[in-house]
Amino acid sequence: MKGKKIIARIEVGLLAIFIIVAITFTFLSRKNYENNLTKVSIVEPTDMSIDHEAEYAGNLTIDIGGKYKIGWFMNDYAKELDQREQLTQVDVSNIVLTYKQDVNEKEKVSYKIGESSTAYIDEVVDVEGGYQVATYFGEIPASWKKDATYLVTVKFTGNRKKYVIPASCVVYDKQNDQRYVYKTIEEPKIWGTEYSLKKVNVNVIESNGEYSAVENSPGDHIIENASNELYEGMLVKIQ
Amino acid sequence: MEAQSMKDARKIGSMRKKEHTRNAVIYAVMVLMTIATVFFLAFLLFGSFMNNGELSDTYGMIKDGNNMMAYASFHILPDHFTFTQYKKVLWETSDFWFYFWNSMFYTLPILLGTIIISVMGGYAFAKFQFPFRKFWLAIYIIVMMIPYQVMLSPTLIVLNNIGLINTRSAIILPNLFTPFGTYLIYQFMCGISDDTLEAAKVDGAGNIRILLKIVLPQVKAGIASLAVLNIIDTWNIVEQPVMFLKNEFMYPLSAALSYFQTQDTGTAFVCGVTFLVPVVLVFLIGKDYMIEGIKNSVVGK
Repeated sequence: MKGKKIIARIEVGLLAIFIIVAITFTFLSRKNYENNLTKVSIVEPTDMSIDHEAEYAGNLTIDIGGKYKIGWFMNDYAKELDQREQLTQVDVSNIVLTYKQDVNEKEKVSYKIGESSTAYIDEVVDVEGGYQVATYFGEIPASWKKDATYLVTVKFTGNRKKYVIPASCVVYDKQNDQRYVYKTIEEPKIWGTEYSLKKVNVNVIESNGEYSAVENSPGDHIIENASNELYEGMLVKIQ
Repeated sequence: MEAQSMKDARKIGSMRKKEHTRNAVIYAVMVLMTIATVFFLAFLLFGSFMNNGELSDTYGMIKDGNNMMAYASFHILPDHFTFTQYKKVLWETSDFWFYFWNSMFYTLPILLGTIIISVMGGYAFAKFQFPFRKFWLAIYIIVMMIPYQVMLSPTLIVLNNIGLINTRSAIILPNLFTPFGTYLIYQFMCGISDDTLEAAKVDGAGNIRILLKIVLPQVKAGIASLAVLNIIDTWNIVEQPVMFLKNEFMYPLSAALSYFQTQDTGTAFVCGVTFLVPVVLVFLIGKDYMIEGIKNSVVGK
């Protein structure tokens, strides 16, 4: 009789322990689950213009009219720049090469930017594979020499684009030659709304390495950074 | 005289032999049934301690054309005991616990409601005289005989008409009114002497007071057995949630087990084992009451 009572008490005790464990594990497992989720930061596409700064190698020649011409080849934004109403500024600098001998008496070449001058793009000519672009100077700095190579820095602000996102949002699928972004979509889950990832193909129409403009709206809540590798359908936690 | 006693002794010996043979057959059948039951429990329990690799080795199928031929290397005891699956299901994710609490949410109100309704119903049938009392009791017994699966469609129509489909009430309300519970308590209450109740009435006690102070203490065992049977019944509920709830997040654990089974074998094993723990403990706590209750509902007190 006494033994039976003890066994009954043990059984009740075990049930009580199970309930306590269930309560504790419910809270802790939920916390663990949330901690194990991939954390992502999201952005929304913005309506903005992208600033560009591109460097090219130019050549100094003297024009028939006696003007100094710096010409260089561009294969990307030249046409767009040519069609713009405002002038596009370029910085032209000569490159000064210095030759030195190292401890092993081997000759080492180093370079530094020399004298700079600012001008505007004057001419864009359509050539095979791109555009031949030129700017003209009436006077040039004393250290500039004919037929030497010059560093041409073109700075311009692109046209306003409706859907501009950080370039880090765009993933390039090399196999299918397709660019895409991940966006979060709300999904009803047992503990409430959670966020899962959806892949959206995009067509990048302009980029400066920091920002990319895409043709159509990829939707809101675009993933910019993530703590783990992403895949479609993955559940994530928005930071 | 001696010949007679020898004849009697032979007769007794033959009877004993027959009894031994009968007992041996009964034991053999019981042992076989126990092995069959324990085998599946062992299968579930040991499977939950295998890691993913071992599970796929054990339950992976060998295919011959389109036919599954055999398990890759079927064995029950794990080569390496591990709690990996338990950690994954019970510690790293919380889906299991969500459905566990759903089950609790259905079990506790149904338990409480069933006890209250069954006690009141049983008391009325056992101690009150009202028109067609025996007829209504017979109806209760007939309803008790009907498998509840048969009642699912009418219940579905009623719930739909009163707008309770896809609510937790769709599971709780129909389960509060169990004819078995009322009948069980009725059987226990029939054993209480009417004289005691009459004496209490003479002393000025009302019906509620008589029920609470005199009747209830005497049917404690009946209530305990009803509680155990009800908990086990509700914990294992599957058909009603699947039919009455569209939102799967409202499913109790018993109905959600199929969802866990679609995940992976290890998860299914762990969920199965953990699902059994509370109900087995409740059974162990109340098994004596339960046996008494079933015995009482069949043969009367």
